[in-house]
Amino acid sequence: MKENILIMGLPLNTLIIVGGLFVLSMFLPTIIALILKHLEDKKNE
Amino acid sequence: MNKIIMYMFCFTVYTIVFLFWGKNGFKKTNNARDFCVAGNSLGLFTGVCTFTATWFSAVSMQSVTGSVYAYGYSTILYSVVGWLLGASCLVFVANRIKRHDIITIPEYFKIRYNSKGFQAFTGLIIVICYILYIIIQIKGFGIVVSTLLDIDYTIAILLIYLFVVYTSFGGLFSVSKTDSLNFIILAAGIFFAAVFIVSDVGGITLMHEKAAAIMSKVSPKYSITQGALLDPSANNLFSPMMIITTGLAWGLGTASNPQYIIRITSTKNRKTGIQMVCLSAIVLGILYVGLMFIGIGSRVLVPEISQISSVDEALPFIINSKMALNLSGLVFISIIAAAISTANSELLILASSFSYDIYINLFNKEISDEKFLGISRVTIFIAGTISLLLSVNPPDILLIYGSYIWSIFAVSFLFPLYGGLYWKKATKRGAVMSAIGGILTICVFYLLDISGVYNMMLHPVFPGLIVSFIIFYSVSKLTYKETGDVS
Repeated sequence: MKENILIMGLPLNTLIIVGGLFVLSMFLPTIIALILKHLEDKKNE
Repeated sequence: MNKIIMYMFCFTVYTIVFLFWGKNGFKKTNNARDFCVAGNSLGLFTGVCTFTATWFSAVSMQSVTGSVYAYGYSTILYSVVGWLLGASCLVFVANRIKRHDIITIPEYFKIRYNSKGFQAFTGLIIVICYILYIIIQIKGFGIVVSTLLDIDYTIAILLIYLFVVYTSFGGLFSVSKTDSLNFIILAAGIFFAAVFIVSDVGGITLMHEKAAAIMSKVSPKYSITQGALLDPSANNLFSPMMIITTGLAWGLGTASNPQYIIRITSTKNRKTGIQMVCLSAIVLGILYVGLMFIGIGSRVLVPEISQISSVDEALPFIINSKMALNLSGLVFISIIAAAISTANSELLILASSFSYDIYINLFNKEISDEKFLGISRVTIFIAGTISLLLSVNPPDILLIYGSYIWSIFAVSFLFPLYGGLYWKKATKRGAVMSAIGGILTICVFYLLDISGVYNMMLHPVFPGLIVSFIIFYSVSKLTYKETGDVS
């Protein structure tokens, strides 16, 4: 039988899918803002 | 001390502080710009507070927590992740929208597409959608207050009506000021409630281990299989397509939602607007972690609640039955704060849209500041009353109901807004026809779904967005070269 890997009692696939998407979505605005700033700085050079 | 007396005491203290805190906003509001966008003066701290408090509604506090309680972490995928991805899109809006001197979002459409008709049409969408959406906040407030103060639901919803109408009368200065207070209260409530519940179940690891074993029904309506609480699809209870498309409805509805965009335009400059969105998303993420722990932990503490008829009632029940007296008072007030801070923002925006985008735009250009404020306040009163009356028989699950309203914003505002900001070939006819086409598609698919003709297992926003995009792109391409179609 396939053994589930648990981290803090949470299955690894849940941690990756739900937790990963959650953390990514939380920081995505900052990532986008930094990319836009970088593009703007590059354009102004 | 008796619990009801404790709740009454907390509620009274909150009311006094709230009234005192909010009254200064009235003095500052002298004209339409003050009323709608706080004179474009919001700094980063106030901006983050008002953005976060507006975002954090009864849907977040009660429906997300209740749905996590009933279905587990799968809820996060089709709600919170979608919302935060929508916030990412708002960075693109913040990057460009401050180039335009606007006080409502429909006014941007008028400037960009040179169309008073489209301004009025989108203004009407805002008025209708927010009247319907405020029902969510009123119901959320009503459930909590009626449960915890042991009063009738109808009387309970009258109280939020008074709070919301009072703050909205003072315009965005008043709303943003009370939002700061509400943000502090709701953040404290979530933090202490999460710490209490996680400690009570013996820590995060033990909480998950116990949650994995749960397979009971919350009530006869909501059942899951063993392990579903920790599974990304709740053990196939929700199809991946339904999760993705519902997340899409929420996310793109957020990305094009006037209540967030107006906060961006209310900041003092572009940089503050972008920082406000980025910082708010991080703050919201932290708060949602708290709500997830409250939801899962509560299920471990109380696996079954036979007394509730909707998952939205789970949190008030847990507060009343499991939490210590002092803490339950704080959490009680934090739920109230969440509902009020969202409802007053929405009422303010719909009043601004009616006065500015419909009345002034179509009927009476020359209007004094006093008359503008008077019309807006009458609109607040009437719209608030309509929402209140509709809330007497509210919808079942707030999270699902809200996604339908957000999907209307997604199909009607998304392409005209982002296309208008970033695509020079976007035209008036493309924008108008895509909005109408998107709304009609949603209506048709929704009717097909509820009539049982065809069970799509996907949210109506999905076909709505496809139709809206195709129309926007193809009609804009075809009409771009016609004189007068682009401002």
